[in-house]
Amino acid sequence: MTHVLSIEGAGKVFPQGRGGSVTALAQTSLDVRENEFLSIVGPSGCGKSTLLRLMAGLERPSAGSINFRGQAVTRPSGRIGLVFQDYSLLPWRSILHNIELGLEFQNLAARQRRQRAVEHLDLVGLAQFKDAYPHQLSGGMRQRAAIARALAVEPDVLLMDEPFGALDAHTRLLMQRELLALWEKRRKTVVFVTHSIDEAVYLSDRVVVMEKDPGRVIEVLDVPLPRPRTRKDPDFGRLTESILELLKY
Amino acid sequence: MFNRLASLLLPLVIPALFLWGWETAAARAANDIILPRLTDVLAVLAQPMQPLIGMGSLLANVGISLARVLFGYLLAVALAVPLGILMGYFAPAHRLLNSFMALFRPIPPLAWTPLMLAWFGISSPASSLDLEIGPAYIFLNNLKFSMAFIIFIGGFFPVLTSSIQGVRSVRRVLVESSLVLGASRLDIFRKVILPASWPHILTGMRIGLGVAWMCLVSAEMLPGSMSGVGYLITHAYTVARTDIVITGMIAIGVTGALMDQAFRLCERRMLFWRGRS
Ligand SMILES: Nc1ncnc2c1ncn2[C@@H]1O[C@H](COP(=O)(O)OP(=O)(O)O)[C@@H](O)[C@H]1O
Ligand SMILES: [Mg+2]
Repeated sequence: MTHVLSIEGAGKVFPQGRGGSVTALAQTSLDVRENEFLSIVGPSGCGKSTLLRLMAGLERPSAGSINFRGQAVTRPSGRIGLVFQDYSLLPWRSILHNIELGLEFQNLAARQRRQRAVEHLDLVGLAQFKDAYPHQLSGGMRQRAAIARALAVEPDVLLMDEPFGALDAHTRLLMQRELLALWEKRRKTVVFVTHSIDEAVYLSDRVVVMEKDPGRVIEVLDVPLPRPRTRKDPDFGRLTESILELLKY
Repeated sequence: MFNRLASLLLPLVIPALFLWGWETAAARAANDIILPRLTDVLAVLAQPMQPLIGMGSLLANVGISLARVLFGYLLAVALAVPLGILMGYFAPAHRLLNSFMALFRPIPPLAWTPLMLAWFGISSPASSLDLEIGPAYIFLNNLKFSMAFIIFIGGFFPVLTSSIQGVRSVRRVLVESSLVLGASRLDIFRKVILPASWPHILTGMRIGLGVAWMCLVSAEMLPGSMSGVGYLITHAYTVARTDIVITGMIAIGVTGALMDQAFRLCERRMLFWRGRS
């Protein structure tokens, strides 16, 4: 089994107030496998975003290390993508130009940029909206555009921080299905943060369960359910139950 | 139907009352120096191309004032925008300059007058270029450095403050989501920070233009001034032509309001992507 990302005893402590500090993430070890769909669940404030930001290189660990294919992650790069909850598109750019953004950073020629962007717009079903601006789109469409933008630079790993957290329940279910279809088409390593246990079980190969005070990983569970999955599957319910129990609900 | 008519007429109520009050007061005062009749002022306003008290027409004076204000204002923008962006982006630059700037900010532009006269006297771009005759001389000689400086001070601080604020208020998620797409520091600066601060900077530029325009009368009271609406007002006062004083005030008010509206229109056009929220 090959590992794309290895988190080796990584932890994060933030300074707070006068000389105080908060442990956002206690020392954690975790491996992210090639092409797997890994979810991270846990209550608000348990360090899910911190863990993801460490993997993305947006935050440096206070202890331990993060390795991407054997190399320490010290800063963000186009290799490890990150999709935020909402409002991460540049509001002054049209959807098409938002998707071209990362390709501009790669200094791709204008024609290839356009071609790749259009291809990814098609992939997420936003072809008709290429000239629209973010404020003209619904929350679900904005998140599709954000996903297309992240995929367009062809990262090795796609990190997602509660990407559907701001959507209504109906749109959320649709987006889950679309994301799975994308993942099956593109076969990419995905690390998906959510506070919905149902969402985690529905989507993932493995689920990382976290607890807070201090933020730490308490369990990593395999989800051996066959795909395509249905929530009517009794095993689906049993797995959800066991995660709820781990979180002491 | 009635509501639409009422809301259409509503903004006219106060001006109508005001004009009526003016006319009544003027009729009672019966003294052109204390308060001229509305009709006297309208008569002057009706002929904006007519020469006034040996100073050329109202429009010509508004024109020269506009040129002066733009001269000082554009200098202020050219300096304040880059400096504000630098101070907003680069914390050491902010620490270096902010307390120093904070000392100058409260000084009213007019307080600079004695120093300006001592330093620049009545020199202008014309004297710097050694021009002595011709239309370019006449034009440039009207743009005295001393006046430009006073207007410059007026416009500088609003633009500086809002440029700093603009850069500092760029949402972190925009920067971070670009970083994870592989942006370099220069990319972030050019493609995220600059366009994201643009709305703040534009607002600051509009406020700065308003302040610069308000400094006009002070600036045109300086020695060496022979024209401009600000000077027209002072000069009309010395020859006891209150109707022309009021005409000049109206011209300043209307021109200022028009510039503000034009600027707002440009702002709305350029910032269409913000939507209606
Ligand atoms: N930049 C920061 N400075 C100080 N404390 C932080 C910072 N980021 C996160 N924290 C703290 O770390 C803890 C974990 O936060 P986070 O990773 O955002 O949790 P989650 O995403 O699971 O809700 C919280 O208590 C939060 O207040
Ligand atoms: Mg979070």
